Amino acid sequence: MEKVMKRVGDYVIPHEAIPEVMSRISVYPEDKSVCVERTEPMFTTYWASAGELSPFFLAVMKEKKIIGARCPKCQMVICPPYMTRCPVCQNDDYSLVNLETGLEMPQVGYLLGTPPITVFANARFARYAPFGRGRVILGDSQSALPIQVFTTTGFLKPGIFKAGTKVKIIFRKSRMGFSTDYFAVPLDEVPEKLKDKKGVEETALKWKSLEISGPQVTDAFKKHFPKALQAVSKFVGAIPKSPRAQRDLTNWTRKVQVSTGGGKFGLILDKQRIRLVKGKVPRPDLILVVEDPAHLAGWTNGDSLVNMIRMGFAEINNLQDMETIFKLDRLHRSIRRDAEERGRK
Amino acid sequence: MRKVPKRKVAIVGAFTTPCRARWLSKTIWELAQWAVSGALQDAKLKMDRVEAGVIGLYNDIFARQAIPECSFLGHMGLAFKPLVRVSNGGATGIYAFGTGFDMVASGRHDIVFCVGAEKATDCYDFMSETQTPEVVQTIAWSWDPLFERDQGATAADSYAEVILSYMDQYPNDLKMAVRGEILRIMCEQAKNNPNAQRRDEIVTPERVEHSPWIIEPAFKKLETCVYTEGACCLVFAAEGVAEEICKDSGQPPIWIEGVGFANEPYWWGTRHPHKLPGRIESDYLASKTAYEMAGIGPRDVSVVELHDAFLPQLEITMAEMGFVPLGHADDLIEKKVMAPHGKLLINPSGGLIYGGHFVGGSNMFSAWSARRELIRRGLDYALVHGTGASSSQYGGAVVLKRGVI
Repeated sequence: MEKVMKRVGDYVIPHEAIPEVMSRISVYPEDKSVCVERTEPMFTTYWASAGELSPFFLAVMKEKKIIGARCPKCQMVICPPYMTRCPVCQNDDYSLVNLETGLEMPQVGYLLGTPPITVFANARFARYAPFGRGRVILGDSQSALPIQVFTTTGFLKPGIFKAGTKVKIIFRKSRMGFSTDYFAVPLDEVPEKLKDKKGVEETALKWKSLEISGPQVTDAFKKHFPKALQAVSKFVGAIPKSPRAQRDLTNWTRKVQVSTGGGKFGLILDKQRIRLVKGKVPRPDLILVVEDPAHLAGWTNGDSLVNMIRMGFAEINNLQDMETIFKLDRLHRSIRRDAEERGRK
Repeated sequence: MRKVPKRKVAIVGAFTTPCRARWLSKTIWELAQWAVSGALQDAKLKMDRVEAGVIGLYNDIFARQAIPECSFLGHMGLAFKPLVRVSNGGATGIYAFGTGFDMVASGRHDIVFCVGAEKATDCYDFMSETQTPEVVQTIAWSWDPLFERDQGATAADSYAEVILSYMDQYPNDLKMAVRGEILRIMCEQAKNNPNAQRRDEIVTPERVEHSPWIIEPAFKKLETCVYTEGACCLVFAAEGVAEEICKDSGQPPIWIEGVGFANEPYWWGTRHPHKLPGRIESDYLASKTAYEMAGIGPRDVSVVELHDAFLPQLEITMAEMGFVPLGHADDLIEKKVMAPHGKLLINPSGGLIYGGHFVGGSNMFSAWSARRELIRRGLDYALVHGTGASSSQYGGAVVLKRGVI
């Protein structure tokens, strides 16, 4: 047995995702039933073997190669080599045909379809967001290799990857036998001298920082700022009347610095409310930059901050805290639905 | 050659619990028991006449118990009789339906109940202090652990891949204005379903337009199905027995005329035997088989209760099932196919987006609604559809026909 490789401090279940042993008494609003809720686990941990698929992961880890397999009878090539026998071809004795394994594949291919981009990542994947997950066809393979796709140009926006986009396989510096040891970038983002090279590691590419820049201050933005601030103030002032909005903010505490091209303010999320403070917030948990204050007024009317971030109208300094943005996005619908219900009554 | 069952099977009773985002006051046992009891009352049938049962339970993690079906048998009055658990991803309900049908059509049993239940939102993510990430994570465990799961595959992006690859091939289809109108109609229809989860909501095409993208440009927040807790039960009876039960209950038998299933392979690729981009072939094959068995085509169908995990997938599935051409799914609205613009009722329950989606029983809930509409409106044929698993691999379709007492 070889030595154990570790990502020190990185746990298969993040420590902060594990609750303490707790219970609470809750009242179900519909029928006023009094119920006991308890925290419970249901988990198993594994030393899971990749079995007959191990050569694929070993080739990635040790040689920075992607391997496939080929059926000697029908010539079907598959990558990844997700099986070792061809189910299509049956021998005369009705058994499956053994595939030729260890076929080295090219490391430039094309995307089978437009890959989805995940912004709403759960705890296990928040550190990668936003990430795309696509399928790449390498060489003569009939099957597509599932793969994460990244851009070296910053925030992963729709349009960078499409069906047919040529991509290059890039290898992580630290490879431990997972399907995240490799990923794809658009071929046209790869320097010319590396395009044909195999086994390119992530450190050989130049990655644009995701650090946010300050908003551009203009007179027009300054002029619009008081109106936007008023709209936000009115909007957050409606939360105490909305049980749904308060539920959205349950147990969520954040100091958010909002910077616009017309001025700054803070949103203090605490105790199921949001308090608006003018100017600079000391030691904010999250910085939200929305250059044009009119977009913030749009948010109070139901426009989505997530959409603004994705379209480049807004930025945050910590993509791992998208959950706060999701919560801010939920508020309009919650307030509206409660207001509609009150209206019906 | 047209395949017909050994003997005919009818739905003679049905009941669904109200759909809720969370039933804090009920366990999954109670929900299932409530549904079984309701269905038996609907059929005016005593439990001792039921010979066997099928239970659709989507996954063990939501149920907080491995092999959770073991604890249901006694609750439902089925002690010392056979109970089969079916779990087939999002299509669990339709596959459970098929299993119940087979048990009766084969001649093994005369009366069988088919129940599906779900409690999903006990799952809770203590990092975000909401349920959704943990519910989504639970579904994400369905991806293969070697090649895809570690890459962050989620339930939503599995359907998104299918939708995006369809849009690659048909960039002028699935227009947002059409999607918004279908959603408006389904939201309106949910108000006529006493058990719908989102009965009080008002959705307009404008609100759809403004809602956040979940996966751009595949679908927005208002286009996604909800997580639901609830249960539904259907009672199946064989020809000869069904008529007698229906005479007592005063409700017509709903004959199961056609049943079809097909599963696509897990791995995507450029040709068969791989899953192909831009298609949901499982829906095409399942509905084709069901139509052939029933001896009808899409033109004969008046009501479709379709598994709408995401709105654009509804449109693709309608095309795969032959109601509109592939690449022209927007004809549903633009060519006035869908009621009230046209004649075809699509998801009068509100579907899984507005009615509710309790995975183990959602497709039974769809069958419950289809039966209700056939009887209430005096229509002849309905089509019930289910899909599921990563990349909407699993497809099931059932043709129902209103009989007479």
